[in-house]
Formats: sequence, structure tokens, C-alpha cells
Amino acid sequence: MYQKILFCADLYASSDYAFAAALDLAERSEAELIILHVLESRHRYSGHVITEDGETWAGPEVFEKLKKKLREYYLIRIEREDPQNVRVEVRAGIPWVEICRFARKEKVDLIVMGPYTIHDPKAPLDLEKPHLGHNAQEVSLRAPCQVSIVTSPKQRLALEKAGESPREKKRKRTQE
Amino acid sequence: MHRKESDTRPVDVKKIRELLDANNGARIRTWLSLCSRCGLCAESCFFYLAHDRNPKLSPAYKFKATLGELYRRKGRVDRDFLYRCADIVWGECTTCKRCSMYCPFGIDVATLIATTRIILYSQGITPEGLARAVVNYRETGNQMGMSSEDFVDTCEWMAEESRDEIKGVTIPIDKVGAKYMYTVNPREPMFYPQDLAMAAKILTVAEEDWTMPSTGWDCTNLPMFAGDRALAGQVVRNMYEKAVALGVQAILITECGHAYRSALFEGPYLAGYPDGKPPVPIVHSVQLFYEYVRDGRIRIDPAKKLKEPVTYQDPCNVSRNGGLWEEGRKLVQFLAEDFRDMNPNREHNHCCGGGGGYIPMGPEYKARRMASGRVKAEQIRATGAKIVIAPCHNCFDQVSDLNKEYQLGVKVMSLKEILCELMVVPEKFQPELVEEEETD
Repeated sequence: MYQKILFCADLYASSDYAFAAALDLAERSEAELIILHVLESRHRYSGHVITEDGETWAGPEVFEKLKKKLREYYLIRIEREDPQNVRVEVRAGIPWVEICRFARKEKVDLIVMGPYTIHDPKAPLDLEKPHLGHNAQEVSLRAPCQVSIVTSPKQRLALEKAGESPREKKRKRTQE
Repeated sequence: MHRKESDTRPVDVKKIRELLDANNGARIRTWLSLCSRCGLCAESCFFYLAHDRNPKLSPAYKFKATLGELYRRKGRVDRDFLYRCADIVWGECTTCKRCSMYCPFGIDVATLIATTRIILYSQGITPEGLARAVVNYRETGNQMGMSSEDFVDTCEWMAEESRDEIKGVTIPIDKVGAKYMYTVNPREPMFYPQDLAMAAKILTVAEEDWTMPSTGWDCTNLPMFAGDRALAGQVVRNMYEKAVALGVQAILITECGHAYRSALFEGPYLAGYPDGKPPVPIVHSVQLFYEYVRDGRIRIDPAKKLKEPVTYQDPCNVSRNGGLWEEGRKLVQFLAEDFRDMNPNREHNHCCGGGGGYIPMGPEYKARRMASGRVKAEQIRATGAKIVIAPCHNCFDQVSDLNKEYQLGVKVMSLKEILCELMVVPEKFQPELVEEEETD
């Protein structure tokens, strides 16, 4: 079904369900799974990026350190001991731009991502108001392939609690 | 900028003497001897104003303590002295040229600072960020080290993406005899290629005859700020020669300030053109976009005009040094219902603090950049504007940083993105809509 699946990693639990979905699809399709993380640029027009060590240049050392961290975080979630068809990539810049660029260049068939990135991991999550972040919106609008945005069950529950789903609202409008 | 303990290289006094002698013409000799310490330049400098009027930040002090001392000591200085100079000429001056306007003798402090940078570069001293860019220019001809293949591929990508909104958008590459050769800041294709897409949409709707070159497309010139004069000349020569080879009528510069400075008036000298003029006319986006709107080639939808208060950031090299302060204002008044000028403004406007190579110099200079940017932040806040238009990438990034640092609560926008939002797309450019099937 799919040859190449791109999972957009943010290293936070908010996208763990998306990773599980990407992994499942890749295994069923015997597709290559590419785990991509984009180091977010501080500015629109320059390459300084934010890392856990602060603002810095996006150089090879920063990339290698992050790749190691990505492998530790995600590969441990893969049951097979030595996953062969998984690749870890790191880019720097504006996340949605780099995701679309990467997908186009690598000719991926499917992008899987979480609904939003947590910019401040210490800030409390407001699951009562689940939303699509800027990157998810832009990628879903501009990507050259299918995009799957995977929310967590908690978010779905929160949506139901928050009121009618968009589908329900649409159904009611049609009836009127 | 401090000397690292590992930097034990000897000072090449002979080389410094050569450079001092080569620049020891009437202009520099006069400027160095003419300054009467009147202090008018001090009040014009945003570094001075932002730091409680510290006299060591007055332009007169800065050039006397650096180039003046180098001449006085005939180049016999130690490495610590050179690093102290580096701290001044890169960390305390953006070569914005505002002080020259206030100097009763017209001393061009920016030229004196730039000459010091050239001397320091000859001794292997330049900020890390600029040194990285210099390597890229040398290896690939552009500051981001982007290959021609990647650049052309990015143009194709953006043309494809633009056609969803504007029918028939193409980005013609190396079109011989086009009116304009559009040149960009490599940070556009590298970090925000949508900037290219926006330009393509505007030029398409204006039915312009334009092209992008596959080489010589980088109009920026960071070697000019790093002190590498020879490479600065080569960079601008690449662009000029490509324009001549394609037989275009003019070079169009993106919304970048220092690119205009380089292409229009510093470049010809750097590239060794004896008449001091570029081989083809240079046109900045601010000017062309103004003409499009003025002449009706781009029509603005009155209902979409910006309702929130708007102010305009004069990039030093577009307004003060490029002469386009009125064009910028007139254009903004077509776009916004509530335009509020900064004070001072036009050619007197303050530098944002991101120019002269400061933003590319990198994170290690950020704290100083934010401190000196206080003057600009206060100017913006006083307007009450909610949108700041910045037709220069360095201004854009610096004002964005100031927005966070000083909690200004503004949105920073480029002219291109506003034009794309507000322009009327004629019917012939409107893409055919595919009727969506109702699915439930």
C-alpha cells in the first residue's frame, strides 16, 4: 500500500499515538518508516535553532546529538530488536516547510503526525480545547501526499465532552 | 568578542601596514583628522542611546579607538588590541550610516568601521556566523551553501504550490532578454521558500516579464560585512555578469536591505567597475511594488485593506542609504487604513539593530542585539501599531525578536505577504475550482 511513510517527530508524548499509528501502517505495508524531526528555527529567515541547550547554530554536532536522542526515544518503542526499515532524519528550519520539502524530495506516500507541538513541556495541556497546531494545518494543506493527523484518545474524549463534533453539527445543518 | 586562549597566532604587522597604506587616501586621512569631538554623532547612534549615553559608544570614539589607533600605531598592535577592535566594529556598530547624516563634516563612519573590519579579517578575526557564510559563498556562490540544483528545484516546488492560488504561475529560469532578473536572499529558498512563491504570484498578476538566474541569484553580500573585500567583489560580480549574460534590463532585488546597498552602490566598487556604476540598473522590490500599485498593475481590494494600525520599518539600506523612504510610505498607505509613522522616520529612522551583519553573526550576539534594539522597540511601541511592515529580512527577524523581548504585541509582516493577501486576482488568473462532493 505505502512505500515510504514519514513520521514527524516532536519527541513529546503528544505525538506518541501518531508514532504508534505510523509504525503500525509501516509494518502492515512493509514500508520504510522515516522518523523526521525539525529543529525549529528561531526566525523566519535565519538558521539559528532552539535546542535544550538554548539558541545555537544547526551544525552537524547538534544534528548527531539529536539523532541519538530520537533513536533512543522512538526505537525503544519498536518491538523488533533491530528494525531494518527505519530511518532517522533531522533538519532545521520552520517545521512545516521542512516537512513538506522533505516529503517532496523523498517522494513519501504518507505523512503521519500529531495534532500540535508542545512548545513548553512544563505548560499544562489544555485537552478540553484540542486543536490543530500551525504545523499540522500547513502540512495538511500543502503536502504533496496523504497526511494523517493522529490525536490521542484523550483528545477525542475531550472533543466529545466539549460539545458536538463537527460531523454532528454538519449533519444537523443538512437536516435543517 | 574576546581572544580565545587557543588563538596564539602572531599579528601580521606587514599585512596591516599594507592595508593601512592602501586606504591612506585623502578621504580617510581627512576624516580621521577632521573630527572635532562635537558629539553630534553620539546622539544619532542607537547603541549610544540604548546604553545610557555611554561615551564609548559614540561613533567618533568607535572609529578613533579602532582605525584611528591602527594608523597612530602604524599597525604595531597586539592580538588583544585587535580583538578589542573586533568587539567595537562588529558588536557596537551596524554601519547604518545614520551618524554620517548628523556629522557636520560628513565623516563616513561606516566606511571607517568597514575598513577596520577588512584589517581584522586579514588577521583571521571575524564573527563565527559571518565566517560560516564566507565559506559557503566561496564554495557555492551563496551564503547558505545551497546548490543550483536545490535552488531550481525549490523554484519549481514553489511554482507548483502557487498555481493552487494563481493560475499559470511559473518561475522562469535563465530566460534571456527578460525585463527583470529577480535575485533573492538565500535564506528565502533555504528557510522560507514561500517568499519565492509570493514574489512569483505578484509578478504573475502584474504580468511582468521576469526571470530567475540559476547562478548569481544571491543578491546578499555578507563578505562585505565580514571584511572579505575580494570575495565581496566576486559575489556581486557573479550577479552582475549573469545579468549581462542574460541580457536583462534590470536586476530586481528582493525585500532585503543590505543586498540593495551591495548591488546599487557598494558593489560596483567592490567588483572593480571603474565608473562606480552597476552594469545594469538595480531596482528594489519596494520601488517596483509601489509602481505596480500606483499604476494599477496590482489592484488592492479596498475591503481587504489592513484595518489595524500599521507602522513601517525603514530598512537603513532601503530608505536612508537607498533613497526609497517615500516609495515605501506611499505603498503602505495604499495597503493600510491607519498608517502611523515612527518618530524619527524616513532617512532619520533608527536602525533596528539587526543590520550590518548583526543577525547572521549568530546567537552569541543576541543579548547585545536585544539591548541595543531597545530604541527601535520604544519607537514601535509609541506608534500604537499592531502590524510592523519590514521590507528587509534582517529587520523582519530583529523586529520579531524585539517583539518577544519587549512584549510589543505586534505582528511583523513583509510587503509581499500583505500584497498577496490584499491584491485583486483578475479572473484570468483565478484557478478553476473543483466542486467538492458532499460526503458524510
